[in-house]
Amino acid sequence: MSEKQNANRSLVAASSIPLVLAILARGESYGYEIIQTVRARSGGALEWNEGMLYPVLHRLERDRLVQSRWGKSESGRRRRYYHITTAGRAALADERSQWNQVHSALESLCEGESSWAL
Amino acid sequence: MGAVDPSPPCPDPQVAAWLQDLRARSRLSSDEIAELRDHLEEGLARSIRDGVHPHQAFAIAIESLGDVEQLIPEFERNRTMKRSMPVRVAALALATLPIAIAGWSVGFSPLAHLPSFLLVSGMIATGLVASFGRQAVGGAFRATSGDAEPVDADVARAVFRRGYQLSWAAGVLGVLFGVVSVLTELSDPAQLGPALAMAISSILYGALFAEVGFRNLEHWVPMAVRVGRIA
Repeated sequence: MSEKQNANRSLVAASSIPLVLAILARGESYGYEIIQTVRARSGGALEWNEGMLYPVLHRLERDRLVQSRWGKSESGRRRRYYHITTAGRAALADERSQWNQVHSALESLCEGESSWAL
Repeated sequence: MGAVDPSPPCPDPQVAAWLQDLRARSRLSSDEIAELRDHLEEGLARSIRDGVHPHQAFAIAIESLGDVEQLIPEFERNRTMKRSMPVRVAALALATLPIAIAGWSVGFSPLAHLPSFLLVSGMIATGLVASFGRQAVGGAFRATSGDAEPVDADVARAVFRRGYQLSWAAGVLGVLFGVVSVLTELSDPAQLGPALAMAISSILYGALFAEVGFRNLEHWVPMAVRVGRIA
């Protein structure tokens, strides 16, 4: 891809929480890895201000959607690992159904449009 | 989360210096610093593995963190948000207690000065509604409780910041009115008392509205749109 299409800011912001929850639903992870996963999965379209992920994670923890524990990285640094809670899974399912509703509405409208166009 | 044994010292002197500087000018906890450190070092190691020069790798790692001036308040606000509603109400009550006691000891009448209270609160309310409209102002106050998002969190914070400024402005104007009427009534000593009362209690109410009221309310706006800054 010569021209990378970046998602607009509000879309990136709105999708940050479901994406974090979805990643943690697949297994325990930590900040840096979460960002790498998002970047890889979106083909680089979702670029975060990386530092801002941490306040978001802390807020999710405060809301009891995720929990954290301190562990070690391979090189012995302290590393904070996050995992999803039952409430987090419920929130993820809820977010997903909302995104799906938007997606299917948009798709059905655009399908209609392409048949008028030509 | 219990503290575990400390990490080995930062292998990269640039990262160590940067974190030390961050620590000096913010109130980030050692856990929060440790988390950022892990992030930076991980990014650094990755860049170097990819063949980037260490100096450049550091610049890249810092750059991708985003604007630190915006980041620090996000961490700190998040912390104030951890306080639950009852704790906040208790803290407010505690803050107003000395004022109440002071008021009691001199008798409440000098502090409860209705005309200046009406002047100050009227000016704040009028100013807020004139700037933002009734709906946004009402929404901002509702936004301080619960997760409902009646208005954009940025609007709510703007409302409270304006409220803070208006409170001080109204207090100062009250002083001005009071002093002007003192000066015009100099020949009539009976009028001096009320005029001075106006001057002094307006600034008291202005200060209370600003520092005890709006300044705290600003921090009560939920994170709602704050995650917007991730983008």
